[in-house]
Amino acid sequence: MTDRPPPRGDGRIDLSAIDSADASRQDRVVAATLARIAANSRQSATDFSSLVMPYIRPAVAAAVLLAAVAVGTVVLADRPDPADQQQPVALLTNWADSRHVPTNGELLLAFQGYGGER
Amino acid sequence: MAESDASLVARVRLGDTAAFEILMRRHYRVAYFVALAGVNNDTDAEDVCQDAFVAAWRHIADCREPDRFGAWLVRIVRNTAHNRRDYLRVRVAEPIESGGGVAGGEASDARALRHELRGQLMRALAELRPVQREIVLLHDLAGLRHAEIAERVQVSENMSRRHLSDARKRLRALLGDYATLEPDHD
Repeated sequence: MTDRPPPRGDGRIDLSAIDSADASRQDRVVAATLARIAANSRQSATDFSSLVMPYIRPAVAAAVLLAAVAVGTVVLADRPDPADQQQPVALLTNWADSRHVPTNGELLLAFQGYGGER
Repeated sequence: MAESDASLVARVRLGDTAAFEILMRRHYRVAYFVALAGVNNDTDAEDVCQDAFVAAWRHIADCREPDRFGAWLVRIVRNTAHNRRDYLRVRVAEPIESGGGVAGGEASDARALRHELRGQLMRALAELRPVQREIVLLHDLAGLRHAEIAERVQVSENMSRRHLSDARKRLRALLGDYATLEPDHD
């Protein structure tokens, strides 16, 4: 689509006297803008750090506490119960102390449970 | 072949400042004249351009049509100029006052004449409606064609021609002997 020519006597007015968009001024504006963008980026990074920093120490402390609890739980869970382990021995000791002769049933009950855990 | 606006915008979205610099330089003159039409002062127009460019960088994700980055930027520039004019309460009729005092000599005489012409032009432009001022600057100084102006100013091409014609008539009436006619490009 071609533009129609302007009506007669409607010519362009020379406005070049107000044309301040020359290369040097453009360079200055572009450089200033890039500097502001860089400064904003640095500021954003700083803002993020300052936002996160107060929470870092409590977060680390909580993580250490959780880790300690987790490790403790695992260690305790893996260790065999000493009471269970010593139950037949204790029974035998009791029987010997009281000079009780265990019946076959008592022996089976005592040692079945002990052997079943192995 | 120059890289397209859409491709540059995609790079800017990844944080590429070099791509943004290309976009700024490509659209600087249009942005500057839209800002000048808004604040009628060259120093403020440059500040508006800076603010608008920084805003464009920050909100580049909101540029929904990257191939029409220029039109999107013009909207940001116009809004920024509007806010700045309100904030500073710049008098629209205030002429540009740049350059220092004028000393003697032929060069100084030429500078003084240019300074005077500049003042006359800015006062005359201040009498136009904002849309006329924007269109006459974009057409006669930034060198845009009506189709390009229509896209950026959000008017039809016919309205762009009409505003330009009205603006020129008004300027000629205001400027009298200062109005120097030139061949038209569009």
